[in-house]
Amino acid sequence: MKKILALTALALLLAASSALAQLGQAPPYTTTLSVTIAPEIAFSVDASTTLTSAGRFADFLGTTNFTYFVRTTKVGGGGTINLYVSTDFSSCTGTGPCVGTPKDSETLKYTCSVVAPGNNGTATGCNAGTPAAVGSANATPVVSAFSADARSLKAGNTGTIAWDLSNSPMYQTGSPTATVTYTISAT
Amino acid sequence: MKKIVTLAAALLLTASLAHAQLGSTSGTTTVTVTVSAEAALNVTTSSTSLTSLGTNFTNYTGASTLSYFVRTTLSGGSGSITLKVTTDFACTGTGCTNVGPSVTNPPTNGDKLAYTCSLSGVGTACSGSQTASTTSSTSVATFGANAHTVTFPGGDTGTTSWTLTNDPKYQTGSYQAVVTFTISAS
Repeated sequence: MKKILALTALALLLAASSALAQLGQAPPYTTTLSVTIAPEIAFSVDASTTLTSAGRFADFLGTTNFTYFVRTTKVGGGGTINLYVSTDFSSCTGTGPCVGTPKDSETLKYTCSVVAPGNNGTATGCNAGTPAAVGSANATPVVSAFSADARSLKAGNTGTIAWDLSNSPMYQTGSPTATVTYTISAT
Repeated sequence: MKKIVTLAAALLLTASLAHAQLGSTSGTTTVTVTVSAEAALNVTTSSTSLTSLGTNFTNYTGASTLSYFVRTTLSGGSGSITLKVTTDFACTGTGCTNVGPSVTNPPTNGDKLAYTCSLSGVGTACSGSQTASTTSSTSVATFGANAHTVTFPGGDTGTTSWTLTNDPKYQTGSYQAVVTFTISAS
């Protein structure tokens, strides 16, 4: 009888210990967080820019401000910011400025100024007086090149686009508008 | 021969008489067990990937899941699950220069590894966004008195949802950190 009781108790203890060993891992309880930091670029720009003339048929001038955020690949990376006229001046159908089909040899030109990426690298701007063109296939540079390992400030770095539109006496009075679209890339 | 039989009979009688003098025909044993406060943990996600949409420098996010078992003291007991970054982010692979995320020394003020908690089962999850640390443990869950795992044998489950700042200052590359969870019950 004693043997039966002793064996039964021993069996119960063994069963209990086996069951407990199945709950939970042995410490430490860890997880490894993994992240891949990839090249990336973001951009914000003034939603509208008004071009004004000083009078006496001086060119229409105006400035568009932008902020860029960029990270290019440490080795071999690069990037660009380009623009193109996605919607030409509404005056193209009338007698007013038109980028795609100029009425009086007018041009919409621009000059860029860009601050270097604040944490590393370089940004090469556009050539002064670059003529804007219509259509994505004719995009022209705002930032012609970011260097490898270009890294902006977390708050971004800034630049400006100074516009210059010919002021032809041929233009009818009015307020024609055009839309400029920007494309950005980083590798 | 008769003497042998007599001797055998005497021995048997003696044995039976001896047995009759030991113990009783029935007995009882009181078995006592002490059920103590106890806790155990499984980190289901031993490797957690943090990913970004890849546009607009949206933050990196990911989730770690764990299952837990807990029993706290009937009166006055308590327990907790905490975590700590025991190995800070370091870049992996060749050519690393470690200009990337860091919990201890974030490249830009305000960069951080944060998390929120959720539980399915007993306990109270941490409230709101927590900032992970390499120097101190931070809360994932707390347990009150007489807390018991609801789901058995699988355990109750918890999730820490991570958010890592996506700072343009980070150099491209792969980085890893190790987070250690601790569970306790009293």
